[in-house]
Formats: sequence, structure tokens, C-alpha cells
Amino acid sequence: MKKFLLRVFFFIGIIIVTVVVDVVLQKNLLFKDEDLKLPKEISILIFGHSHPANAYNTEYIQHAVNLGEPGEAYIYTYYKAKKVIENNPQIKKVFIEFTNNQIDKGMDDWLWDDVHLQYRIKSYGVLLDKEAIQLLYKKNSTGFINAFSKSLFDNIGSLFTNKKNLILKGGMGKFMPTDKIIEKPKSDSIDKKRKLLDSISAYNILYLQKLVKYCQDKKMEVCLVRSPMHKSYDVSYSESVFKTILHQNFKDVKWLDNKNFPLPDKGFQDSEHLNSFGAKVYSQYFNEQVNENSNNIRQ
Amino acid sequence: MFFNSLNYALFLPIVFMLYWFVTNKNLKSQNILILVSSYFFYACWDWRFMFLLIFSTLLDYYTGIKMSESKDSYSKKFWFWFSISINLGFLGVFKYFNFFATSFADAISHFGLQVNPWTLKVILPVGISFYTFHGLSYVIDIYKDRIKAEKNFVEYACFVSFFPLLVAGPIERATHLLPQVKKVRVFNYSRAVDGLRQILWGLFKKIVIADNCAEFANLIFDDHTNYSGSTLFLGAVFFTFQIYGDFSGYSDIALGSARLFGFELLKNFSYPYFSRDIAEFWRRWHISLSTWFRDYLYIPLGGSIGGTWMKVRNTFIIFLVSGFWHGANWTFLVWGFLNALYIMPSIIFNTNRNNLDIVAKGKLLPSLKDFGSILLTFILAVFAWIFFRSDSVSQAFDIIGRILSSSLLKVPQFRGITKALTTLLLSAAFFLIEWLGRENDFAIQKFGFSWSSKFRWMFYLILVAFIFYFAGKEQVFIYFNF
Repeated sequence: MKKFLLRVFFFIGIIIVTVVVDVVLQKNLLFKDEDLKLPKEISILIFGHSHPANAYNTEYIQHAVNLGEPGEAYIYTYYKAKKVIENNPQIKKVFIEFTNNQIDKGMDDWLWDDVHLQYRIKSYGVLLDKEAIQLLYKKNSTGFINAFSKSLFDNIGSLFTNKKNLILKGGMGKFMPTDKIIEKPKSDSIDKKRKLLDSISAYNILYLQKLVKYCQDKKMEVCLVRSPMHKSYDVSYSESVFKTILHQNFKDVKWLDNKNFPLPDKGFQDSEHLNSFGAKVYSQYFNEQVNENSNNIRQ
Repeated sequence: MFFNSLNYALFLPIVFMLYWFVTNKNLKSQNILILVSSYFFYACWDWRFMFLLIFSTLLDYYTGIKMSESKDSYSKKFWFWFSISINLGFLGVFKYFNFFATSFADAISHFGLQVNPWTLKVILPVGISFYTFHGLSYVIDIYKDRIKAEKNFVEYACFVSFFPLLVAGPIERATHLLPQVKKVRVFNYSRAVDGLRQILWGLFKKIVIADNCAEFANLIFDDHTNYSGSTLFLGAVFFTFQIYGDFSGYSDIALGSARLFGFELLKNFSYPYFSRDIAEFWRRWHISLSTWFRDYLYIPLGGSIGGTWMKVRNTFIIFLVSGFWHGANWTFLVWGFLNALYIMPSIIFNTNRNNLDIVAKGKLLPSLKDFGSILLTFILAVFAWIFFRSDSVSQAFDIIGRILSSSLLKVPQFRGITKALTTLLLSAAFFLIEWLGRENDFAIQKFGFSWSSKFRWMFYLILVAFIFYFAGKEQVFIYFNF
């Protein structure tokens, strides 16, 4: 029995040591502080999901970096933002996309379904704290373990490749230009078939609150922003709930609603996302809003 | 509590430590611990069905004693049928009531009568088919005077409820397991190491092979009308790998876990996809169920005595019953019927016992003839599994019709083809190891024994790495539904 137990412990020990070494290496090498440093002139960060990732071309927005990442729930944005802000004390303003689909219960999938976990844990797994790990494990234990194990292997390669300027290389989100143009919507295809919102993703909203509070504690100017959407995108399914959440949970946060920013059809790739042309026009406007006349931002 | 869950990874070592360090060499304590942990294991699914399990155990325990004490055959027969009818009654209510109710409604609707059948809104108690069959075999064996009734309730309950076999088998016999329960277990290093190896291999089969294949089998079967014949055939092959990896993986974990506690359970799989004919396939697939039906149905019906007609009739009966055992759906009945058809030539021409040994024993490669036979048997199995996997018989026929069309010659196309190719490569590597280890109880039982221990450990670590890295989306064990 003694021999058996010793061998079993030794075998499990090899696995545990390998995992611990891997995690420590990732934590210290993959997210090295110097790799997260932004140029000194950068003072504006933009966070969110695919809407901002497609909408903000920072070639036209002074002092800004777009860290929007498609399919990203706020829990991951929160830990990512913390890490970036910690390493860049020059950041003064943070813009966070807040739009209708981000309150939807379906966002829970973005938080912890198998597919999203695999992407996010690989990218930001080692940034998560105990609270986040417990939450994700509780909601999808198998998916979390699978994603975590996969990330251990997948990130080994990244440890030895040049990851300097992780942010500027798009390792934590980026502007994603596309030239696709929205097909002309037929009158009967206008997206009015969405069901009225019956439940919300409490965790997504909770982590947005945490992110806002973190920025406020750091004395930064925080602003929630809704990027332009095509007229065919009908928000009525959730607008009243959305506004209620906005007024109740974020009443002391600046709110910039650019949903109805006038853009022609050729500025959209689909009803929710801008294309390169739309992003250029909108980013120029946004630059004026945030850099030239910050009074445009309404309380 | 699934075998491939973190809960089981905690449960198993805790029970193991208590078993060998707290109850060591004390039969009564060993059995009480086995029973308590087995009930805990079962209650993790749904504690309410614990009462059903305990009632079923008490029923067979009590009727067993009553049969043993019976002075006359009338009384013995009474207790026998009492137990059989209640056991089958429970199975019928929980598993088949809704099927019969809806089938009846469908049947009379053909005569223009419309009824809304009353159906039960209850879930199927997990493992009911398995522990009911444990109990039935025990009662039948007592009735036939093959064994004596067990007087010790804890020992009998351990036989019925031993956690590794409780929810999906193997279907044990009192003649095989009860003597082990009644003897104090002493730790055996080789057996325990063998058990761990078998658990590791079972996890690989389930997590790497079955769960990954399931992703594509589900994708293709769930939307079958949009795929070509070649894609549908590939989907059926994925399901063929899935069900083997899933169920034999489960059985390996069950047998391996039992070995850690000093028990040897009945072997359930013996490389069925290397069979040269369907008769051999059925000697190698879900062995504990096949032999159960052979001993408690086929032989009592007359077996192979009484000429070809009797053999044909009895074969059809056991395959249909076996199909129906799997689930209350016509698809399972057709699956059973199809297998009976497959096996018929060997029954009629008396060639069903031609291939008793494992193929190419002692050789690296099979002969061309054996290879051809294996391939043909495999393809027959693939077509039968289409019925098993489909939601309805018409869906199965539709899939087969599309497979047998000219679109079979098209290049398969579906979402995630790169991952599917990886899965096929993993499956190929898996079947290669199975082939190399086919003369052992499980493929890696003696795999790498000629290597130095460092390399062997490396092999086990690679298997662990594969389990973590290639883990597919978690799927419920298929046989939990039965």
C-alpha cells in the first residue's frame, strides 16, 4: 500500500508541479509589465465587445487605444482593464461600450459557456482572481477545467515568442476594420422579431459596475458609450429595461449615446457593426467629442 | 456524480482511503462503507430515487429468503412471480408507460379515433434497468436453485448497489459478485495499479474519443436533411466511435474503480470493432447484457435446442427484447431487429461460433480475409447504429437513403472540418493502441511493459495531457439514459 500511494502521489505531483510552473511562467512572462506599457501620449482607453472593436479607428482618435474584443463579457474586460491601467498611470479617460445586447441574459453564455471560456481563459485566465475563478467554476466547472487545461498548453508557445507590446499588437483587443457593406434591408426584414427582454444578465452588469468603480477609484473619467447602430436594428425589445439599468446602476457615470449617429448604409457592415468607412467617419466625430469638447458628453 | 467529474475525482480517493485505512481487514466495516458510499453516490443524482433503489433491494432480498424458506413449489413460485412482476412493473411504469400510452394513441388514430394519452411526468430513475436486472438475476438464480438466498442484508445490498456498477453496469450476477462481497478484501498492489490504468484508459475513451466524436455526430444527425450521403456516413461513423468510447470507457472506469477496492467485475467489452462477424461482435459488445439475455431468456426459451426454427425464433426474441431494453422507442426495436437479421445467416448455417478467439492472435497484422471481414462487420454495425442514434425510424431510413445515393461520392462538408480531422486522427491512434493491446483485458493493461518505467510513465502522462488538452464538450454517458 505504501508503495502504491507513493507512486500515485508522485504521479499526481508531477502533474501538479507542471501545472503550477506553467501558470507561474504565464503570469510572469505572458503578461509582463513592460509588455503592457502604452506610449506615454495614450490617455484614452476604449473597451467593449465587437461594436467598439469595429467602430473606433484610433488613427482618427487622438491619444486613444481601442481594446474592444468581439464576444467579450465585462468580467474579462474588468480584469484586462485593471492590468492595463495598473501599468499605464497616464490613462485619464476610459470609454466602455454599453449597449442593448449587453444586458441580455444571453450574455451569460459569453461569461461561461464552453466556447467563450476557451477564448477568454486562454487570453486572460491568469489575470482572474479567486472570486472570478469561483464564479466561472461554479457556473461551468467542466468547461472551466477544459479551458484552463487547454490554455496551459496553448500558451506555452506564446511564452517563447516575441510578445512585446502585447496591447499594441492586438493581444488584448483591437480595431477590426472590414469593407463589408450591409445588404439593403427589405422593409419586412427589419429586425423587429426579437422577443421582449424577459431576463437580464446580472453578472455582466455586476462586472460593468466593478469596472466603473475601479476606474472611478483611480480618479479616471469614465464614460459609458453606445456606438452607432443601423436603423434596421430595433432596440425596442430592451430599451426600457436598458434605460432603467442605466439610470439606476450608473446614474453617476457619464453617458454618451451615439446610437443614432447619422451614417449612410455604406458605413455599416451589418445592423450592429460599422465597417471601415463608417468607423472612419464616426471616429473623426468621436475624436471631436472626446478630445476637443468634452462638454459634448452629457451627464 | 459522473465518473468524469471533479466530484468523482474527490469521492473515489476519499472512499479508497477510508476503505483501506479505516475499515481495513474487517469485512463488516468494508461492506458498510461500500454500501453507504454507494447510496451517497446514487443520491448525488436524485436522492428521491434512493427510495426506489432501497425498495427494490429489500423486495428481492425478502423474496429471495421467502423462496429459500418455501416448503412447497407453489409458495416458491408465488414469491418468484411476486418479485418478477413488481420489478418489471417498476421498469414498465418508469421506462415504458409513456411509450405504450403514446403508441396506443397513435395506433387508434389510424382508425379515426383521437385520444390524448395520459403520460407520466417523471424522469427515468438513473440505473433502473441495471439494478433491476441485478435483482432479477438473483431472484431467478434462487428460483432455479443455482444459489442460496443471501441472509445478510448489507452484503446483498452491496451486490446490488456497489457504486462502480450501479448506474450503467456491468450487469453483475450474484454467482460472481456475492462471493467477493462475502470475503474480506486484502489490498493487492498489482490489481490496484491495473485499476488505475483502466480508469485512465476509460477516461481517455470517454473524454477524448467519445466527447469529441459526439460533437460531430450530434451536428450531423441533428440537421441530417442538409448533408450529403458522404457527410451522413461520416456522422454515423462518428457515432459508432462515440458509443464505443462512451460505454466501454464507462465500463473501464467502473472495472478500474472496483479493482481499487479489491473487486473483479464482469468484463463488458472486448474489442467489438475487431470482430469478424456479427455473432462475434455480440460476444464482444456489452457482454454482461448479452450473456444475461442468453442465460435468462434465450436458454429458458429453448436456446439452440429444437432445430433451426427454434434458434431463429429465439434469436429474434432476444434481439428485440434487447433493443427494447435500451429504450422505449421504435428505433431501438428496429436496431435489435436489424442485428437479428445480421446474425441470421450464421445461426441458420451454424457458423456463429466460428470466431471465438481474438483476431490475428499473436500476430501484428490480420490476414486479408480477416481484414475484409472486420471491415464488413464494422460497416454493418455503423448502419445499425444509425437506428440507435436517430430520433425516429423515418429519420433513420431517410439518412440511410441519402447515404445510399450518389451524394455518397461527394467530399464531406460540415462546420468544423479541421477539428473533425483531428478527432479522426485521435480515433485512428486510439484504435491502433486498441489493436496492439487486443489480447489483454483493456488495451493499455500491458502497453509499454517492455519499455523502461520512465518511458511508461511518460506514456501515462501523455495520456493525461491528451485528456486535458483534447477534452471534448462534456456529454452525458449515453447508457445513463437506459
